[in-house]
Amino acid sequence: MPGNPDSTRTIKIDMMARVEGEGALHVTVKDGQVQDVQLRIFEPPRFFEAFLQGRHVNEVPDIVARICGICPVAYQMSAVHALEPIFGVEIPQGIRDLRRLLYCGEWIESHVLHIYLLQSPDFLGFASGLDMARSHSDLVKRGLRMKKAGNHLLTLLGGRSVHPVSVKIGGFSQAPTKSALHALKDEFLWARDAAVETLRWVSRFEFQDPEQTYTFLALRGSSDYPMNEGDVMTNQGHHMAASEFEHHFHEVQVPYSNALHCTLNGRSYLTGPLARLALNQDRLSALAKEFLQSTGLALPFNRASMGIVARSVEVLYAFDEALRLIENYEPPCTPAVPVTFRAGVGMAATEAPRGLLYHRYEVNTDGTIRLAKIVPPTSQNQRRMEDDLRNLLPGILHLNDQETARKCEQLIRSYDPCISCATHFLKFTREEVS
Amino acid sequence: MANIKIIGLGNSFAGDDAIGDIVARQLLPYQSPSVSVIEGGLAGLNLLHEMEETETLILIDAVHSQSEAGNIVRFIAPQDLDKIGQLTWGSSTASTHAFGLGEALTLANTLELLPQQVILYGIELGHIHPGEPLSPQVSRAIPLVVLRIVKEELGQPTCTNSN
Repeated sequence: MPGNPDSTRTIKIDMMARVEGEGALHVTVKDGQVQDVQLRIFEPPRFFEAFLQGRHVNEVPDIVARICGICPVAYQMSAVHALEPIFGVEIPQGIRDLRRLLYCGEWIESHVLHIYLLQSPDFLGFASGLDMARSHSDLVKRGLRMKKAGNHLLTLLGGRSVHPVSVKIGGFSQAPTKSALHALKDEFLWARDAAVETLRWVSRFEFQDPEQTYTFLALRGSSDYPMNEGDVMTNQGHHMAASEFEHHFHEVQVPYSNALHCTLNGRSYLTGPLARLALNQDRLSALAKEFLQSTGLALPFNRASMGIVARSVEVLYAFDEALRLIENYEPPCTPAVPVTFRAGVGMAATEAPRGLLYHRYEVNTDGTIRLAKIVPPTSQNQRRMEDDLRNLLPGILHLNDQETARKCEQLIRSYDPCISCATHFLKFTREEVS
Repeated sequence: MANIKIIGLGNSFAGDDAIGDIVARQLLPYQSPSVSVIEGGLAGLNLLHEMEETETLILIDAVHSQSEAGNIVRFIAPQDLDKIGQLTWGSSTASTHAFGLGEALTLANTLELLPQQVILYGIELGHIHPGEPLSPQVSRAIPLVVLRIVKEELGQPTCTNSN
């Protein structure tokens, strides 16, 4: 219901109450124009920064793996890559390959969950993944089987199916046997075919949200599609080592949220699958390139909703890349290189499923953490989400409250932020002030 | 093949939300060829993968339901799915983009993946402050839940050296 043109319309959308923290979308409209958009998202990683202080660096991989049930590998990878340069550790290629394989498992698990149970219901007109499962059980079962394939990698390389425990500074506590990895091949061949079908399926969805002008930010390495390695790049000409990240990107406290907003020279930018694909399409495998091209969709994707296509391309790539790594696998002569602790500062960024994850650690001489800083992707994308909503709202203000909230919710969910699980995470209230 | 699977859920670093994993650790001595015990953490939808080849699934999680801290509740699925879905479970709150416990069980039920018997123990949490120890009431609930699971669900005498 549009407000009186002469009045101020305040749209307050409170997120589902959780035990801890809160989030909300607060929109102010005056004279039919969107005046202000404020998005609040609660961020668990912030608590862990303080929690890590005083802990020994050996504990860090296990602690950060517990920040999130969906992307423990990302937290572990950013942590070990930030810490290892402090100790002068050189990681051999065999261990780097195993880490990449582990990351493939996480991308698969996280992306498939989002594609099949969180975002596709929005395109197909279902209220939730649960609703969709009632009438499309075969489709959801296909997604779950693909997800399980990713989970096999986590179990095998990480030592358990959730919160992997085998990742350590210097490598792994143990490396898998060749036969154990080869045993996954048949299922991965099936899953790669299923990923092709997934990409075909989602590329036919209708993408109706407004086109945006994005500043894309992602890692870009010398040869591979980025996971653990590469410099930080944007499509606006920025190019820097991860260690320079904090020189260019600044976290700002906004009065309406407990989350910090990360900005590039004071402006929003986008990290995640859309950005990775826009900046690294030439780094995809031949197979992923071929099927991306066959969708007929042109890059870069400039709509948030098209994240589902980018994720599907990355799932196909991750299965293809995992098969390549499995095929070429030779167990490393040692699963971990020895590490001698010393004081110093280290930074790294890796590509978590939902975007760039930056860590910085300051370590004392006794190997304890003096300071930890974690900049998660959702904090980086928060300002961009507000900008997207600002562009979306003028076209939907004529809708009733429920529909306005639903459209906003869908846009936010397409980012796969740390709140997208709750299908109806936006509770809508409206206040009109004359 | 283990046909009884026990999974503790929750975030070990978020105060009382650690209770599920702690109870699971205390049940490790009862593992056998037919009983497996897993510290499931924030398993989310991975629970569905764990249901395969399992006849009885026993889950332990912290729950937030406005009752007294340390209070123990027991549900069975699919019969109690509505009640389970109405409560806030610890493993669903610490990582908000995972599927919640109620949603995971409901999805499993819809897809006909639930094991023959699913039993869920909930322990009312007091606080979930990161890095802080369990509240005393929740600590006191640990041996009670362990005892109930061992005696009532596994039908075994308790190990004399386990607590």
